[in-house]
Parts: sequence; structure tokens; C-alpha cells
Amino acid sequence: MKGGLYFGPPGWAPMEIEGLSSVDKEAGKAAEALPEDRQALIGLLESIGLGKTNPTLPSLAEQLHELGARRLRALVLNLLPTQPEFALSAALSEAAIQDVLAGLDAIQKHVHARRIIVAVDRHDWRLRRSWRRANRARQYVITKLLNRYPQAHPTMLIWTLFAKRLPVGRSPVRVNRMIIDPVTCWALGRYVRRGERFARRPVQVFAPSRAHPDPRLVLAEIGESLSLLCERLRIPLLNRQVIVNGLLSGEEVDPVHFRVGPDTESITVRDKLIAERPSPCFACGWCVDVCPTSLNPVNLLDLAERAQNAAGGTDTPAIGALLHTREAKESLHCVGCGLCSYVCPTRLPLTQQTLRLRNWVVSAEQAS
Amino acid sequence: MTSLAKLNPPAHQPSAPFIVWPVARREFYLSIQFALLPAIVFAVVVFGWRVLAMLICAEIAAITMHAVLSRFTRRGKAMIYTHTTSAVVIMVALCEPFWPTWLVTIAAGLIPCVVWLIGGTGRERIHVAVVWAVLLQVVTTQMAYRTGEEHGSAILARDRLVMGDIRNAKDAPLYHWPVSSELGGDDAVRIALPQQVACESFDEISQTLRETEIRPDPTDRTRVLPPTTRAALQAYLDTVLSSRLPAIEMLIAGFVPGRIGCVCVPLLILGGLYLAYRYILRPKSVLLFLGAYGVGTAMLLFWPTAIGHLGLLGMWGAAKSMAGELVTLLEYAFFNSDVLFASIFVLALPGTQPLTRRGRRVFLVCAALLAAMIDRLNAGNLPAATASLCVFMPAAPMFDWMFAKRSWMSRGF
Repeated sequence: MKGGLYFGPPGWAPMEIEGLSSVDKEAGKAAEALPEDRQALIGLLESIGLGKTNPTLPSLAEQLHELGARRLRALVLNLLPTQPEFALSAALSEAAIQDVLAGLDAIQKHVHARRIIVAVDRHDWRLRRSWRRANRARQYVITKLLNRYPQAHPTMLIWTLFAKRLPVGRSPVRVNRMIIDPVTCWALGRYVRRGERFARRPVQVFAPSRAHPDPRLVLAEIGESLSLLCERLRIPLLNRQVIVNGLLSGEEVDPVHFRVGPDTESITVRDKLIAERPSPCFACGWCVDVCPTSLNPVNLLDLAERAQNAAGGTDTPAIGALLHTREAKESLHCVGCGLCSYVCPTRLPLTQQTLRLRNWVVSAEQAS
Repeated sequence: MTSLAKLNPPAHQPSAPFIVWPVARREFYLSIQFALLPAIVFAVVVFGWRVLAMLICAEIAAITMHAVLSRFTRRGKAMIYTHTTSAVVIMVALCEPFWPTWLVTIAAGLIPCVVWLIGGTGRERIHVAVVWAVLLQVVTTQMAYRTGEEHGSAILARDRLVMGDIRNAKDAPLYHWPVSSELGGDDAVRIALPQQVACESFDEISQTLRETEIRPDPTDRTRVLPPTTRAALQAYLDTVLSSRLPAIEMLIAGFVPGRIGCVCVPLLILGGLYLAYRYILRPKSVLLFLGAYGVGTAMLLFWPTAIGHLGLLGMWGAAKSMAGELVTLLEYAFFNSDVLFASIFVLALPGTQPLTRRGRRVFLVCAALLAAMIDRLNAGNLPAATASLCVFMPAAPMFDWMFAKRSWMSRGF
């Protein structure tokens, strides 16, 4: 990966996950055996509620379904933080590594991958230490990667590890590899070891206050309203902005209507900021330098603007022709990491317009 | 490039990313000024108060004009002060210390006007300050030619640093750094530009080689030069290096005549390191530009007629016999030119080079080769690297279009 931006390991020490230790001490049910049949396993995953646990990754059931009867070349456990300052992988590896290992072994029993790769952040020594200890009795390949954001994105991970091009939004099974995130392993491990359904998931909560200056890792009920969760955690929401799944590529949500889902990784509550007004591009080239897929975001912004202007007028064939150009189709390779807008000194909405152009191109291709 | 006027309203809706890098346009230009500051301060020490006066007058003129435009016009409100002030600093850094202050002040006052005319900060495809510096060079050369007033190149005497007048200069027969009493009380010593001396030496060597008689049928084709010619060249080079050029440490430290911001190599490198640390300068671009310039200068060292006369093998043998002296002369030509300044501060300015990696590489190699050619033909009379970048800057989007690779994701599908 040529672009990306290195943020370093989290600037705070990951604590234990609130609520997890007490759950661990409870006497669980007897260990559950997973069905041998692939379809039965997929059905079981759906019945225990183990769906998509990562916003950029297809669920385990989807990947198993796509795999079919093929032999998997590699099973990758992605422990890289999906956003800067995320410490979920490290905390799970510290607090519940036995569950994660049990889940990983259970998946391997079904897919029979030739090798299991554990991708860890090169600079996260706690994580590396936990996995070095755990790997003494196993044969996992622990690969230390420089976590330049968005290295954890499946497309980037497959490129870095195997030099294979995985189209954005496609399942890694397409290139005969499977990527799973630690939460999936942890949830499956809990089912295998204790027979527990996936009803709660660890969520990282960023809401700096005097009592909790650092982020917190909590177990949140899946389906729980965000306002209730914040009330439980004593986080005031009045006149504050709530962002789900990271500041770089997440989305702003309404806390009353939004419910914690299986793929809710983080919640950020902060005071609303006044957005800076964009000014003309002065061609510093930072957006091109950081783009992990070597796009030219400012060029795509121009195309999006032209397409929008054409659509606003009466020239409908013009927008059609524009969206079928090679330049416009480059937007299909945008991973939506948000880095171009993040670094832009003129504050241009590069990511937003590129994603918008991508949607138009997809619509145009489907229509034709 | 994308302009604000073209942006459609929905683009302003808040969405990810919800954080931004703390460097906005203002910090970008401030960093460039901050990096250039040590080199300018050094120039005030070596060239005297006139440089400081020039800088202050130019800044006041530019800021006043900027204030007027931003107060009374709508377009002027979109302009930013740091852009104007950094443009002035860059322009002054490319000026020569004895240029008339009034002329530089007028040019500085015009910078905001031109930026305003072309649509505001960020709309320029060629940086105004850099163009102005090249134009000023042409104007001052013409003025000197008409008035017959020749200041040459000078530095202050050792005991007149900071407070001496650079225009109160006297010729020195030998190249050493005198005190004021050795100059009859004058403040500065007028000496030849090391870059010019180096290029004259290359010309002289080429002339000698072109006119020399080749030894008939030497067994070794690299030794076609007769011993008398070799001895004559060696004696000439010894004279140049011992009496017409300063010590190399003085050249590197910056105690030599030259352009205001271009003389002190360590401070320029320090500024470059700071800019690279702030991600404003791409170190690879600098190295590529300098490397291509070095290769270009080495290729153009001798006249083509001399190479034609001796043949490639004969020329190789001649160059080998005086390799040490040639490398030393190259060092004088390199460090006394504006190439280091241009590769650090002009390339740090946004919009001076293509956006894509491959386009940038081709662009930098082309610009550096042109710079080497200009420098060889017109040593020291023009800021060659800056002028060359000026020529190529408007064509930067074309380099992007012609040479940019598609996304690596596009290939293979």
C-alpha cells in the first residue's frame, strides 16, 4: 500500500471491557458443538444472531456461503484497528483471548484453510505479547504489519498480505481467502464454550469527561437504543453530536432512533463543531499522496460536480456519457476511508463527492 | 482546478470525516515562511541592512494592497494574508541584494493585485512570486545596461556585517574575505560569482580542448591529448581554484555573493527538513530534481564541438586526467546556483508540480534538465532552476494527464 496515513498505536492504554469480566465469571452452559454441515452452520450463525460484525467486512455466514466447496488458501484474523485510536482488538486479546481462540479454531475446523494468519499491528506490543503467548501451542502465522490507516480494510489487507486485488465491497472469498474480525471469533467462541447467543458486543465509547477522560470499552446490548446506552453510561446527549463507527469514515446518527447493531464498533459523543468553509483547491497534492488506492480525489470531485451540474440541467445524455468514462469509473475503487477530506487544507468535500460519484456510476452501470 | 464557485450546495452537508488535519491553508504558508526565515536572517548578516529594508518595504506594500482589496472587494475577502506574505518572502529571497528597493516594493505591491485578478488564492497555475522574481531579474539587467550602473556581486567586509551598505563596494584583486580597512573604508567587497567563474572555466577548458592538436595514432584512445595541453589545462585550473574562487567551506556556509535567500546551504537544508517534517515538501521530489540537475550539468559540462573534436573516448580520457578539479568546479557551480532554493522552497509551494507520482517524476526531470541548460548557457544571470520551474508550472496538469497511472486497483480487471 503506497498511500494511507500512519496514526500510531492508540494514545491511551486499553482497559478491560466493562461488564465482560463479570460475565466471564458466571457459570456458563455446557459447551456447544458446531454442526458438521456447512449449511447447518450458516443457519446456526443466523439463529444465534452472529451477523456482520464489521462495517467493511461481509459476515462470516456470507463468506461461508460464498466459499461453497472450495478449499481456502488462508484464513486471516484481522486484529488491526479499523480506525485510529481503536483498541477493541487489543482489549479482546487481553481480556478474552480464550474465546477468540476457540472461535478461530471452530472456523478452521469448517473451512480447513491451508494456513491461519493473524495480522497484528507492528507497534502494539501488548497485542503482540498476548498472541505470542497464545500461539505457543498452535501453528498460526503472526504477521506484524505497519498499521497505516486504512490498512485494516479488506481490500488493503488482501493487497498487503497476498498482493491480490480485491474489488472494493467484495468478499475476500473471491480471492480464496477469508478475513474475520476478532468480534466474530469472540462471539463464536462464546457460543462454543458457553452456549451464549450473540446478544451483546463490545463497543468503544469516546465521550471524554472528567470521570472518564479516556475512551471506554463497554458491552452493549444489540438492539439497545443509543440514548438508553448513553443514559446507562451517564453520557449527556443534549446539543451533542453522536457519531457511529469512527470519526474518519463513520456516520452521524440520531441517538433516539439509532439502535446498537452487531456492526457498531464505536460511538463518539462530542460537542458539535462548526465546519470550516471550503476554499478552492490549491493543488498541494496531499489527497493524492494519502489515497490508499492511488486515486486522484480532486479530479473525481470535479467529475462529480460536473455530473451534478449536468443532472441539474436538461442534458441527461451528457451525465450518462460522463459516468461511463474511465475517469469516473475510478471512483469504484474508493474505499471511503475519508483520508482525502481529512488532510485537505482547503477543506474540500472530496470523500463525500467521490462516494456520491461512485453511487451514480453504479446506478448508471446497472441501468445500462 | 476545482473552484468554490462551482461547488454544489449539497456538498457542504456534514458527513465523514468529522475531523480534519489541523493544517489549513494558513498554516501551510506560515510553515514555508518559517522555514525560510533563517536563510533570510543570514542574508541580512552577510548582505546588510538593505536586505532588511527591502523585505520590510515589500511586506508593507503587499499587506497594504491586500488589506485594500479584501476590504473593498468581494473576491479579495477570499484571499489570505499568509499567502501574500509568503509570496513576498519568496520573491525577496530570489532578489539580489543590491537591487533597488523601490522596484522590489512595487513588485511586491502588485502580487495581491495579480492574485486578485486571477481569482484569488489557489487559482494560480503559476506562482506569482516566482514569476515576479524572474521578471525583476530581466528588468534590473535592462536598467543596469541602460544606466551603466554596475554593482556586480558583492558581500560585506568581515567587520561590516549587518550594518554595512552592500552598494558601497570595491573590487578585490584576489579572492579572500577582507576587512573594511583593506577596502579603503568601503563596506563591501565586489567579487565574481563562483558559479560564473566555474562556468567560465568550463568554457575555457572546452575552448582549449577544441583547438588542441590530437596526438596521431595513440595506442590508448583515451590519451589523445598531448602532454603540453594537459599541463596547460592543469596550470589554468590551479590558478582558478587557488585565486579566483573562495574556499569551499565559505561557499557552503554562505559567505559568497549570490541571491538573498540562496547562499547559505545548511540553513536551506534545515528549512527543507522542517518542511519535510510538516509533510509540505516531498523529499523524493527534491532528490530527484537535484539529481537530474546534477546529471544535466555533468552532461553539458563541455561544448559539443569539443566532444566532437576529441571523440567520446578522448573526452573521457581528458576529463579523467582532471577529474578532481572538475568535480570541485561542479560543486561551485551547484552550490552557488538557485537550484537548492528552488528544489526546496519553490517545490514546497502548492501547485508548482503535478499531483500524481509519475507525472511529477517526469515533470521534475524535464524541469531540472532545462535548468541545467539555462545555467550552463547563462550562468548566474538568471535564477535558472526557478525560471525553468516557471516555464513548466502551467503545464503541470498536462503531465498529470499524460503520465499518471490509473489506480492500482484498476489494473487487472
